[in-house]
Amino acid sequence: MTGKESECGTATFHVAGKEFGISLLCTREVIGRFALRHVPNSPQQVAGIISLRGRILPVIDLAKSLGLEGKTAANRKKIIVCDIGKGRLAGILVDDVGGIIGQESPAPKGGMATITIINPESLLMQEGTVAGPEVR
Amino acid sequence: MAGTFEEMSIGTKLAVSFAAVLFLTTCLGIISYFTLNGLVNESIPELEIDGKIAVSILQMRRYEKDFLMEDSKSQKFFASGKSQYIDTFEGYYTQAMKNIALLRTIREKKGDKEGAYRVDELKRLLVEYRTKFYAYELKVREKGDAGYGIVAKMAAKRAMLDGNLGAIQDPDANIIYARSELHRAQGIESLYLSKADISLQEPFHSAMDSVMAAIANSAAGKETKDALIFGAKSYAEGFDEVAAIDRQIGLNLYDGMIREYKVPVHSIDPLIEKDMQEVWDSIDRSSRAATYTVLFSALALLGLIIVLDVLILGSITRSLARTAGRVESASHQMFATADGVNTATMSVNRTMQEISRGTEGQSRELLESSRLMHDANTTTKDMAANIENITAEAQGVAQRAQEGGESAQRARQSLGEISSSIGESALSIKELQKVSVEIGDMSDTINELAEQTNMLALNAAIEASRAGDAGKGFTVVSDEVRKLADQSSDATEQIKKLLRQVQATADGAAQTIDRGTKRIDAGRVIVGEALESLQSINSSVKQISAKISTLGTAAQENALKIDKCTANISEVAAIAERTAVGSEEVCASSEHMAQAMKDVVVSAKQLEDEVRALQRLLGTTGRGNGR
Repeated sequence: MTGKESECGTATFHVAGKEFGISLLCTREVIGRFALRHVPNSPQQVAGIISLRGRILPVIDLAKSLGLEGKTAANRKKIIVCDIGKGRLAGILVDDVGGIIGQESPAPKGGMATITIINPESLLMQEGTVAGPEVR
Repeated sequence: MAGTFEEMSIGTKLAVSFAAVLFLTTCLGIISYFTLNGLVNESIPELEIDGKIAVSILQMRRYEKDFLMEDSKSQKFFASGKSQYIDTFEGYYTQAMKNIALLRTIREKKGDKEGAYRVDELKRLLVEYRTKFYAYELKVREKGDAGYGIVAKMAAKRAMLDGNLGAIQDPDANIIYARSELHRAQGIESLYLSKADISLQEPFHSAMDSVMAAIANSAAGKETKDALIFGAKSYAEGFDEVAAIDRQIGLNLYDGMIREYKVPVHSIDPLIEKDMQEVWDSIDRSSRAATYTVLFSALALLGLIIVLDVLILGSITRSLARTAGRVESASHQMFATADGVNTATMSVNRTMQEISRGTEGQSRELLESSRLMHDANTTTKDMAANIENITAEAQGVAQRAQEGGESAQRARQSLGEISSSIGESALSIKELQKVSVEIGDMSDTINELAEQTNMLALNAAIEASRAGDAGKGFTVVSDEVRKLADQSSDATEQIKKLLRQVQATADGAAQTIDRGTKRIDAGRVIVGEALESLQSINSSVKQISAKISTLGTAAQENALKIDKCTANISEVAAIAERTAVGSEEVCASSEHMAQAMKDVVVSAKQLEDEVRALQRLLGTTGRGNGR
């Protein structure tokens, strides 16, 4: 992580019983999954698409992407909208959002814990889910 | 004279002797005939009159007794001051006095001074008896209240004594008897006290209260024998007090006055008896004297005839024999007459004895009947009293059944009210359930809102961190907002938990109410049945009560009829008693007469025998002379 990122802090979230983190620099906002629309013939890690203030975004099911089994997609309630570079946005379907971890923030309850920080850009690129330049 | 007689011829001598003998015989026959005939004829009316006087006095005494028994118990007598028995008493007195005067006249004519004196004594005693009895009757009438009170006192004392004895022998079984006697005493006492001094009532009332309390206790099954005896004793003491006051005001009528006027009448009976005995004795004496005279004369004549028979011819003997034959037939006639009278008297005597025995038996049977009737009356009265008690009990039962019915009615009404209250409660609980469901929905909504708020705060924090240092303050605010949202979420969670408890409790209450409603319905059915039973009990008791009432009326009528029967039997018994006494008197009289007649018959028989002996003697002489 860059120094700028650590200054910005990290948002934590839960997927399939595991806690993950994501930099606030690439995080835009968190929304409910109510607007998620399934896309036919899409890969299994793609949960569907949403319309966020007129922009159409793909939504990735993180559990499927990471190969984690557990709850079904219906139990994932929140979508974290991330910047995946070059002005492109994508949604990550998670179970729940935890909180914000910053330098000023106190240690979480239950003592120190290690969390996996994911990079959405690399994650999505690796998956090949989002291809080409962002369409406006 | 002797010379003159010797000078006479034999025929003249015979004729004189014959004439003398004839004359003497005729004289004797006439004298004896008239003496006996006169004696019997004179004495029979005297006896008859004596008997009539005795019967009259007996009747007087009977009506005197009736006066004492009936009139002194009757308030009517004291109100009117006139006895129904006094007229009859006076009538018999007049009859007795008339017969006494007649007897006196007969004795005076006869010159029987002793007999006349006895008649005078009888008259004196009878007048004294009547005078004293009227004095007593006047005294009773003048002080009627007190006289009546004394009779009442005696009756009440006897009733108390009877009740007391019954209670001592068997306190439980004789309570009813003691109570009936006490009621009788109470009745008499109230009659007496209604006219007596009011201050005399106090001892009665206190004693009566204790007796009544004892009876009430015994009815309740408590120990009462001593209490009852104590009450009865104090009641009797109350009477003793009244008796003492009676003595103080000088009305000791039963002890003094009655004894005084009973003296003459008790002397009358022996006097009449003595008089009749005297008459019989005089007949006896006279007939015996006459018989002896005739016999001695006949013997003297016989001696004379024997002397003359030596000298005088058979004609004299024949004449003498004819004369003797006449004498014999006369005496035979007398014997036959006396025998006939004797037979008739004996027959009368037998008949009278039979009548006497018959009436005595009748009297005894009537007394027994009267006693049985009295028992029956007591029993019937007890029965009537019991029927009254039963009627009262039945009315009490009807009353209680009525009250029970009303209570059941109220219970049914209350159950209905409870049922409707429970229905309302059930509705309230359903409402509560509905409201709690709504609250649950609302808390869900609140939870949703808290979540969204949390998300908004998160987004705000993201925006603030992107703004860098400028957004730091906003980060703090968003953090606070998130905390508030978390708290809201926790609160709604707690609300949900509480709501689950409320719903569980409400469900339990609903089930309980359901069960309660079912039980109340069952209770209403039971109360309805009880109500019907009570109503049927009530109607049954009413029917029973009506029937018992009819029974009670019948028992009272029975008691009245038995009373009438008893009165009739008493009347018949009195008549039978009178008949028995009269027939005994007649028996005694006819026995006396029969005895006298037997004496006469014996005398006549002796005379006849003597005459026959004379005839035989004459016959022998006559035949000897004829030869």
